[in-house]
Amino acid sequence: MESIKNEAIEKVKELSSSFDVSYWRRIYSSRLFPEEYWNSIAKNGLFGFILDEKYGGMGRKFIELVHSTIIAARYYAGMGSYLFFSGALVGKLLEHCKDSLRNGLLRRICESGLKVSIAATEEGSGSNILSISTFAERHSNGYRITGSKMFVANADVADYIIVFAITSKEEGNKGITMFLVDADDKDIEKVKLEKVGMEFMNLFSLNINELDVSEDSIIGEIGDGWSVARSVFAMDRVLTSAALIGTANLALDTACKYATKRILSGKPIATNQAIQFPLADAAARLYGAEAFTLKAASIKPEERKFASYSNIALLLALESSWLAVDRAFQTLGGHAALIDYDLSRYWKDIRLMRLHPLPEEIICAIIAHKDLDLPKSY
Amino acid sequence: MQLMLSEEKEEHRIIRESLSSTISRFDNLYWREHDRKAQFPQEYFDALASNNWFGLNVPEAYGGAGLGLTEVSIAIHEAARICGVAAADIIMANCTFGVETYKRFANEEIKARLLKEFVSGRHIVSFAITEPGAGVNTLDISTKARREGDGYIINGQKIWITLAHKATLMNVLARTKPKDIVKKRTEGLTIFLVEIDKIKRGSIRIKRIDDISMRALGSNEVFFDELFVPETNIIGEVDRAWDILPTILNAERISTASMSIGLGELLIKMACDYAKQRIVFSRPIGSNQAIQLPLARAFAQLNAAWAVTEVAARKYDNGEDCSIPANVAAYLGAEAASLASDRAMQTFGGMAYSSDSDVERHWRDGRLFRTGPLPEEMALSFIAQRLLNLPRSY
Repeated sequence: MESIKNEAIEKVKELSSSFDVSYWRRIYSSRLFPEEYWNSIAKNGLFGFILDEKYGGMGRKFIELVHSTIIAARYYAGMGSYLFFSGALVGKLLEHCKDSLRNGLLRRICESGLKVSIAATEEGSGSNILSISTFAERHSNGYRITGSKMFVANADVADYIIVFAITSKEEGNKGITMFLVDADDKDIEKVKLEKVGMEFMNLFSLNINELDVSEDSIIGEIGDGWSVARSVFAMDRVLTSAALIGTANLALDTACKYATKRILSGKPIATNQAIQFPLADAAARLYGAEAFTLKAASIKPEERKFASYSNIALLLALESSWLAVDRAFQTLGGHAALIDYDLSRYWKDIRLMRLHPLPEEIICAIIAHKDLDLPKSY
Repeated sequence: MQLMLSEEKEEHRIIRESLSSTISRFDNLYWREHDRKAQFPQEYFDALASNNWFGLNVPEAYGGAGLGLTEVSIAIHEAARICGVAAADIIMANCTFGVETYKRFANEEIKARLLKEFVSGRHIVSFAITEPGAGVNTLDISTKARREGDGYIINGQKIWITLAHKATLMNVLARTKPKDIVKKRTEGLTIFLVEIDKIKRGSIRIKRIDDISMRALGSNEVFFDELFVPETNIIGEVDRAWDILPTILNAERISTASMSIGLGELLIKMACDYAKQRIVFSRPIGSNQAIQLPLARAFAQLNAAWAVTEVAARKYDNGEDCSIPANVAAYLGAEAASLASDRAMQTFGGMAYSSDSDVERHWRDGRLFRTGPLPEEMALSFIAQRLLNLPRSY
């Protein structure tokens, strides 16, 4: 699929390609945050990609960010491109901050990037955001938040954390609110989780012990955080699709290069249909996923149907990228296990993505209910 | 439930609604009976003809609507999702194999004479390429055409020619220059337009095949015996069919993609409707994840195939090379239709095995696309070579 060609996207390609596979190999092996990559994006104003020019943003369209993400992943960040697209998307949430905070935060994103972690899921509450138990109690000066959060990415490097908490336990109005809190607040205990995959970032569980926040920290409306979060999370799913597709194409590029050179019985293994056809099948499905993802990216996020598009895009991206990376892995034979052949990184990362932001089965069940009108099964 | 189509232009929505109002009266019983009896759906054909559907992509200068392959694909897709494959294939036969081919590659005399006749529904078109000894290996065809007077004499045999027994126009691929003397491997083939009711010398004999897909339309063996075709009826240039075949075949792939996707959608709708009302263990079977999740996956895959089909049709109409999206669309459409039909069969349980439920008819028709217009293995070879730059494997 050829891309829209324009300056902004070309800039992303130029920048991202300067961080080659050996850079990412080093980052994953050392398990360090890729500061150089982050800073390079920040310096070039790319975190303001879709933000309004009045904040110093580039004012580009969402579909261009989606294109750019596919490119950033393929050349050569893989799922490391998550840092790019999530850094560019967070402004869409912070647009709903109170007046006293909004302009300053958005300017910072455009000038130097802002590291923001999302603290939504909990040990006892996974796919169903409405079942969280972290509670924000109202008092004279604001709110006091108590609870625990799970699977919080980048809490160690974050400037801010967006905490999802219940602000009302009344029957029929279990209001959820988003709070923007200082990541270094003493009342937030961060426990690092030892994990496999996505070694460019750390995951944490958080214990929030009577954290006091002001009214000003609320993003959107009290008790109605989900209204704002819903469309941004849907945009996140489309961008995730883009990153998956780019990463899977990088895996295929790697496998095809290998298969064209690797000789067995006097000819390249790429001439074997048992190698070639599964790769081609995956490539065709990725092509389809990309065509649909770009279609989704052209729908306005405020429209009701955008959610359906984003769910279908993500399912297609997950299915096709997993097929691609697993077949690419197989193509490398024994070399797949070697760190220096890079494929194992892509394989682990894509495997994790079948569970985040939502398990694939939940996505299927949501499509079955919302788009096929079958009874809710989850 | 329908595919994510709502981003389509107003004109496209109107095409769908208008076609629907013309054809939705041809119900399951109608198609079931014509499939069972292997009988041409004349009333359906007449309804399309009298509502000018075969003039959809005929240029306005010849009395048509002047639209492109994009609009033809939409019509094919809509016909498939309302009535199934046979209904859609008739549109491909006339609009793609006929109008699209002639308007691009026939000479002015042919265009001026024939294109306006499509608008009034006078024609049914067949495309005769494959032979018993030449399926995907088109260059190995042995049907020959030798020069004589102001035309050519054709001798040979074709197989798997849809609608040959009803055709008024047949596009015949024949070898005009022997393989061993051509400079380029792909040289020496010519497409001849045979006007069935104007045959002056020689003959065509048609033998129907008792087959299992698109039975209402019929597939055939076709035998040419000293058949004379005037040289003015050559489509494209002598010996240079290979210059224009890729474009024609791309249009075919975009059309079959549209057809298979529409069929897949029809099957999912049937399966969901059934699953919502079939009660087992006190609840609709559609509430079981084992029933509903595979349908959701098939639905998503159909959406992907359609997105690629739209890209291919747009490129085709813009005169750009569309071979990659056209072949990917055909491949994904076939795969998605196959998954949808298999899951529909499974969802219907025992009822799938009754012909009256219609699922098996659509299942038989849908399976065809994994073999025609090209076997999926050939589609994968094409994708491997063109998209992944891998070496040829055969």
